[in-house]
Amino acid sequence: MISRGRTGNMKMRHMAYRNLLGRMFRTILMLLAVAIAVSLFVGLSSLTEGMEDKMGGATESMGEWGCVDAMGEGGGIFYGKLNGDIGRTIDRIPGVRYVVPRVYGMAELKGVELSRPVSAGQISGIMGEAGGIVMEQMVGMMGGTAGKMLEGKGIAELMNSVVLIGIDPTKETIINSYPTKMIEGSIFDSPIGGAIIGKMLADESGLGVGDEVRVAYGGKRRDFNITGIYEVGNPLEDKGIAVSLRDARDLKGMGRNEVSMFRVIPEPHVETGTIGMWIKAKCRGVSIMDQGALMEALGEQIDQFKVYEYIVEAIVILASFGFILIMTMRSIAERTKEIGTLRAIGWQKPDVLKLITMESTAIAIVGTILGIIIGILLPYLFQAMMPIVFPNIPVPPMTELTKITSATIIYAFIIGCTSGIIGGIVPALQASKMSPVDAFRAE
Amino acid sequence: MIETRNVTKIYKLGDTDVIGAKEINLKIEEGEFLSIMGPSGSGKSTLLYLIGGLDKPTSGDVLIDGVNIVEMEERALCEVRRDKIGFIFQEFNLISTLTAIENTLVPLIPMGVSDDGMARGMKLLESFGLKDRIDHLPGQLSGGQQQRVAIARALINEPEIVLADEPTGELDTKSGDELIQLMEKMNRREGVTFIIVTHDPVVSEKTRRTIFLKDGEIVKD
Ligand SMILES: Nc1ncnc2c1ncn2[C@@H]1O[C@H](COP(=O)(O)OP(=O)(O)O)[C@@H](O)[C@H]1O
Ligand SMILES: [Mg+2]
Repeated sequence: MISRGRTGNMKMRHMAYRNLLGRMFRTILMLLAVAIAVSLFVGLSSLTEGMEDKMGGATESMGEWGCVDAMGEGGGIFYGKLNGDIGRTIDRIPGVRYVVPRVYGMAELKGVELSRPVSAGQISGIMGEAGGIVMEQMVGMMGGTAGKMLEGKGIAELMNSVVLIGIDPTKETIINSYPTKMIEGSIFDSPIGGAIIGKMLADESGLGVGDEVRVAYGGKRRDFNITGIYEVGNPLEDKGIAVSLRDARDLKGMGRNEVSMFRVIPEPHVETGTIGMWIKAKCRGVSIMDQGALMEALGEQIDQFKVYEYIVEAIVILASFGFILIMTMRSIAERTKEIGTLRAIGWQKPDVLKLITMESTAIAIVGTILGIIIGILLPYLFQAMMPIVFPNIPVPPMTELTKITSATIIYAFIIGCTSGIIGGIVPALQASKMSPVDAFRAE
Repeated sequence: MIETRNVTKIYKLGDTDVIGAKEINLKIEEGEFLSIMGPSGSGKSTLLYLIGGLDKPTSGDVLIDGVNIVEMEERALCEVRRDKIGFIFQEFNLISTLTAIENTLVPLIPMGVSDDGMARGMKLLESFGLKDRIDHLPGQLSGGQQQRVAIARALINEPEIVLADEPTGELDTKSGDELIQLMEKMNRREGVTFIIVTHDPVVSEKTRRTIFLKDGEIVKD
């Protein structure tokens, strides 16, 4: 039943340890209080970090400078058209540094199964307003119609849809876009039949450098040879395929001089808003998307989301702190006689404090570690549980939306440990102040 | 040696004063085996706590080996309790999560348990007939066995004085008898002063000196 071996261990920490094991129920409750608070903190933080990361990626994909996208009125980047001459007009506007033409479309990959379809509709459906707004804006960046189109299409239809991007490799290199973001292989050098694909697409389709892929747009089909894989950080583009302007025009049935949009990069210190107004004034039938302003708005959205996060975190931490305090208070009440006895047989106040601090430190550390593990697993748990609890709601890709940073772990540790330890010490201070006689008579 | 000089303890309960001890003058020599008798509420525990430095008198002095403990600071008083005094309580007051030997060693823990301390603890438990109960938790021991562990704990620091507040109160007659015998043995063998509070005449008969209290006053010595 009880081993003889433990007779030799008689230090204060063993006593603390034995007290914790001897009062298992209370110990588990306190561990849970710390662990739940910490796991919620980690879960919430990793969600904001993940969102910020995605937004950061989106900003980065637009180059180091803010930019203005000019596209055909009404159709957005996917269905609108611009004449190439407009590019030359924009280029002459003072303050414009580079004008980069692109063709966009939603194409289908033939004979490819995407393992993890992600759609904006899914995410906004689950994550409520804040997440929805963020995703909408990401879709908005791709053009006004894209959002409408995503809503119109069913999820099943979207599953094999990818973004088709027609690019001019030389100009994209200058603005530090696709060709400089290759993680495998290289940009195609022939203007016909070469393609690079985004990392997410590569991961989900199993396609790699050297593979052939058949792209369908409307009734047209074309085969491409994959020469490289890029990662720009924007989830929509990273789940896309980039080909030459000529091939993209061909697939979409666009004229030789037509493009979907011009990405306009201003000279340093020139406001994107000013450039946008100039373009509006000089070119007819052009709609403007000021990416600089959009990113700012997006940043504000994230800040707003963070404020909510902090409020929830504060409540979570306070609640667990209160719970720990109540639990320790209760245990002190239970142990008043014990503490009185210890004081009577010669334990000094600091000795009693030390014992109780050891106990709450152990609980705080173990509970925090437990909480961090649960917090990291939370998105996976969520994804596994959602279909069971709510079979009709599509599951957002929580594991992809969250990001664990070392800062989150460090903060979790600090918060978990301090609240656990303070929650233990405050009542212990009170108990050790009591005179032994009062403690005996306290029954 | 213990000496009390005009020790009075008045508890304040709202507006009313409750007398716990009144003008107590006592001299207890080293190695005495003494009992304090009296009806419930007569101030037996109060006197014991005052002698043991657990509580301070309203007026008067308590001297242990000529040192007035009434004037001592809490820290020093704690050391006196640790080094010179052992306590035994009616309800044993063992720590429920610790084994017999661990409970015995508890007074040593803040300073560190030496091999000597460990050996002494084992020897005490063995001589109290608890050799095969060393690793048992209090919940696995009978009342008599628990109280013997409590005596071992009281003696671990080799105190000069052991103060016992109704140590047989929760025990049956046989265990109570054995316990008093054990205390007497330790008194004779190691010269430890025992002051035993009881309201059981059978217990007080076994002591060499009995003090009778009533309403906080000594009525017979
Ligand atoms: N903390 C206290 N506050 C008020 N009255 C007390 C307190 N402790 C003891 N008393 C009173 O002092 C008297 C003596 O108590 P006590 O020493 O416990 O007696 P005994 O141990 O002989 O039963 C009793 O009337 C009791 O009610
Ligand atoms: Mg009493």
